[in-house]
Amino acid sequence: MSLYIDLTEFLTNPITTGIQRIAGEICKYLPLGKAVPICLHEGRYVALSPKLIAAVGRFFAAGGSVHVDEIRRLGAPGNGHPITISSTSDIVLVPEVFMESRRLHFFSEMPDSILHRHRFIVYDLLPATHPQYFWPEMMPAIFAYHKILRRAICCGFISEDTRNQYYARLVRTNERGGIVLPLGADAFGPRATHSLRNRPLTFSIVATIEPRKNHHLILEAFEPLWRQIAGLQLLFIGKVGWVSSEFAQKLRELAVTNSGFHQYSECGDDAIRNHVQKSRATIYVSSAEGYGLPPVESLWVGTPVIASTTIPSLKGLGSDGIHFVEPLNAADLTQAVLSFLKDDYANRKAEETLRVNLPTWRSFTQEVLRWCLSD
Amino acid sequence: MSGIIYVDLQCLQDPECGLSGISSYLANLLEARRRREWWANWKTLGIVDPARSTLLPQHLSLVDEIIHSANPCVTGATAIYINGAPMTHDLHYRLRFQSHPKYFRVAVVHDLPLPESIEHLALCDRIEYLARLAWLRKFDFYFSTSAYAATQLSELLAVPLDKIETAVPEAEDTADLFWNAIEERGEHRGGLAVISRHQRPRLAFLSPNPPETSEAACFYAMAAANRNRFDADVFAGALIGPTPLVGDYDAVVSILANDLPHARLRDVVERYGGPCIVNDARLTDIDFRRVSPFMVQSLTQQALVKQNYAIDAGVLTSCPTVLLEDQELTDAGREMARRRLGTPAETYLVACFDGISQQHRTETCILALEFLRSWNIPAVLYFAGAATPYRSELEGIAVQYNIAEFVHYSSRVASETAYRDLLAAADAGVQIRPYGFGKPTVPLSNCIASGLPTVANLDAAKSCDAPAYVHTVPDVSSPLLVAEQLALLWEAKTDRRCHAAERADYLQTHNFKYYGQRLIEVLGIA
Repeated sequence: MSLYIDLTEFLTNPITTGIQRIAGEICKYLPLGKAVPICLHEGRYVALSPKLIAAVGRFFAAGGSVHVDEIRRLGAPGNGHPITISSTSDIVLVPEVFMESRRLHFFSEMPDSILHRHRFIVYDLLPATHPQYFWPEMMPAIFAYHKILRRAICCGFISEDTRNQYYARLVRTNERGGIVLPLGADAFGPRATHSLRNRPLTFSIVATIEPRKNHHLILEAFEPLWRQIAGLQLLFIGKVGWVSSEFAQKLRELAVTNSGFHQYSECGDDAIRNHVQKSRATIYVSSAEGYGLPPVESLWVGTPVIASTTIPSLKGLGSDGIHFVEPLNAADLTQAVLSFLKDDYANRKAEETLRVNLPTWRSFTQEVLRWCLSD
Repeated sequence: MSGIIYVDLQCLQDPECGLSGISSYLANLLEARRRREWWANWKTLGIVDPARSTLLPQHLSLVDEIIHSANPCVTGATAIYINGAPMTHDLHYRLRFQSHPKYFRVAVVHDLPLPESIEHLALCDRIEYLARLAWLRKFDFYFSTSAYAATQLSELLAVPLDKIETAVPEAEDTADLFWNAIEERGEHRGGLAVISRHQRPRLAFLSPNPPETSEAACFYAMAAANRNRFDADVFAGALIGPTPLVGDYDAVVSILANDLPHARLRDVVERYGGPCIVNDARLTDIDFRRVSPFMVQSLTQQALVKQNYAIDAGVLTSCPTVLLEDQELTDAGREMARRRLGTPAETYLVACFDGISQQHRTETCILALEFLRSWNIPAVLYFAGAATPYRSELEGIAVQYNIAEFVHYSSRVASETAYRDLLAAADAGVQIRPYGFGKPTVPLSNCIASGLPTVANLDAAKSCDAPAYVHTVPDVSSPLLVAEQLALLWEAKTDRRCHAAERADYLQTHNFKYYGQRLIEVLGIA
C-alpha cells in the first residue's frame, strides 16, 4: 500500500497562507517516508521525490522566505513519474481545496473505485450554505467540487460543524461518517507559559476584511468607546478582501483620522504574534466559519478572545480565556470590550488561556496519518 | 367657487420679453386677481419651461406655485388655463393645456400677424404660424387688448363674438375687465365648466414595450379589466411621442423600463414630465425632475427610490397575467394537465416560468435539480421560458451531471395552453431573479395566483408581496439552498388547496382591477 499526498495546488502557488497552510503544516510534521508527494499533470498523477515533503516542511518552518527554488525543482512534474492509483491498496490524501477546471474534470471523470481511495479534507461548505459571502461566478466550480466530495466515501472534517453540514445538508442524511480533524493552534510558535498582565488597551482582529467577519460591527462597537477611553487601540490585521467601496473608504479615513485605529494588511507570523500577545483580547465574531483558526491561535499565545458563539474551533473548549458575545450585536460587543478594560477581568481571562486544551499541527498531522492508514 | 388656474409663464421666461409690454400685461392681470374676493379659493400654478431661462425674482410671487411639468393630470377640480402670448414661444410645450377640452382656456390676444405678412417666411415657419392659428382657435375665451385684434379673431379665425372680450391697454381697469369677464362666465353663463368631465377618466399609456410582449400586454389587460372605471389607449413602440399629449386624456402616463431604453419616450418624460410608472428602481440616466406623480409597483421599489433618490413614489401593485380556473386546480384538472405533459403522478414536477438566461439563474435551478435527484427525490424540471443560445450551455451542464433526461424545455415561449398546463400540473415553482431591485416578477405572480408553492429569491418574493407558500432563498443563492427549499416542499407534500385563503387574500389586491383603481387614485382622477 502507498500513501500519496496530492500537492497540486501548493506546487502551482507555493505560499504559506490560506488553505496552502494546511498542506504545509502536514508536510512539516509528516514522518520521513510515510507518504509520497504527487501532483496532477496532463490528466495523470505524477509521483515526485519524497524529499519534496521535507522541503515543503522547511519552507513553512522558515515562514516561506526560503526553499522556493528547491520546491520548484523537486515539484517539477518532469522530475517525477506517472503513477496509477490502485483501487485496492493505495490511498491519496487530498488536503487542498481546488476550483481549477482541469483538476475538477480529472476527479469528475474518475471511477468511483479510484475516487473512493481518496481522503479529502473538507474545510467548509460556506459557498453553498452562505453564498451571499462569495462571488456568484464561483458557483459552478464550487458545485463541481462539492459534487466530488459527495461522491467520496471518506472525508475528514476540520470541525464537527463542517461534518454536520456535509451530512445534514450536502448529503441530506442523519448518518454521520468520516472523522473530525481539528486544526493546529500553534502556527505562531511555542505556547505561552505565563500570561502577560495589565496589557495596553489594545484589541486585535486577525482576519481578512470581508463581510462575514463583521468588521463593520466591531467598528460600530468601538465608535462610542473611542470618544470615552483614552488610549484605546483597535488593530485590523489582515488583507482587505471584497468589501463595499464605502466600507473600504471608511477604513482609509479611520486610519488617517483616528489614532486609535490601525490596519495592517501585510503582516508576517512574528508580527502577528507580537500584536496578538500585546492585546488585551482578540476579537473574532465571524458570522460563518468552517473552523476559525485565529481565536485558538490567540488562546495559544495567551491572549483571551472575544467571540461569537458560532465559531466551530471554540466549541467544546468551555469558556476559559473566552468571552462569548450572545446575542451578537454592537451593544453587547461594546460591553465585552468594556469588561476587558478592567485589569482584573482581563488578567483573569488571560490566566485562563494557559489551561485550555488546544490541538497542535503535530497532533493534527498524526490524526490525519492515522485516518489515512486506517483502511 | 374654487379651482386651479394654470398660467403659462413662458413669456416671462424670455430674457427679451420678461419686462416687455406683453409680460407686464400678464403680470398686471395676475396681480389684480389677488385683490378680488371671487378668486380667494383658487390656486394659481405657473407653468414654466425648464429649458428656458429662469423667472425673474419679481415674477415668482405672481402665482402660488411653479410647476415644471407640461403634462399634469386633469383632476376633478375646475381649471382655467391662461396664456398671455399664444402666438409666441414653444407651442408644443403647452399643447396639453391648450388642447384640452376640460380646461377653460383663456387667451390674451394683443395682435395677430396678418397672413400676407408671412409670405416672405420659409415654408416651415409658415406651417408653424398656421399651426399656432389653428390651436388659437381652440381657446374658450379671448381677451383682446385691442378692437383690431378682436376683429382679427372674428374674421380670420371665425371666433364667435360672444367668446371675445375687448379692452384697451390704456384703460385703468383693464385687469378688472379681464377678471370680470371670466367671473361673469363663472356666475352666469353655465359656469366655467366647459369643464364637463367624461363619465370615466381617459388615460393614455406610453409603453416602450412592443405591443406583442407580455409587459405591454399587461397594460392592455389592465385597461380591459378597468373598462368600467376608465378608458385607455396604449401607445407602444413607434407610436410614442408627444402626440397623445394633445388628446383628450385625463392623464398621459409614461411607462419606463431600464431594459427597454426608448429615446422618444425618454424625450417625452424629460421634456414634458407628468405621470410615470417606473418598472425599475434604478433610475439610470433619465431626468425625473418633472415627473409627477412617480409611480412604482412594489413597496420595495418605493423604499429604494426614496432612499436613493429622495423621491416619494406612489405604489400601484403587481398582477398575475395568467389565472387558472377553479376547475384547472381540481385533482382531475391537474391530473389531466400532467397527462398532457407526460408526467407520472409520483414525479415531483418543478416548473420555472422565467426566461432561460444567466440573469434568471437558470443554471442554479438545474444544479438544484441534481441535488434533489441525489437525495432520491424523483424530481423533473420544466422550463416554460423561451429558448436562448444559453440553452445549449445548460444542456451541457445537465449532461455533465447525468440529469439531462429530467430537464424539459419549451422549444419556444410556451403557448398559453402549455403555460397553463404547467401551472396546473406543477408541484412546485422555482423563480430566481436576483437582479430585481424591487421589480415584481410576473412569472412569480402567476405562481402565487395559482396557489403553487414556489421557491423564490427574497427580493422577488418581497416585491410580489408573496404569501407564506413562497419559500425564500437569499438573492445571492446557491443550488444547495434552492434544492433544500424544494426538498422541504416535496417532503411536506402539501395540497395547494390548503393555501386557498392566502391565495384569495393575495388576489384581492393583485389584479388588474385593483391596479387600475390604485392608478387613478394615485393620479388623483378617481
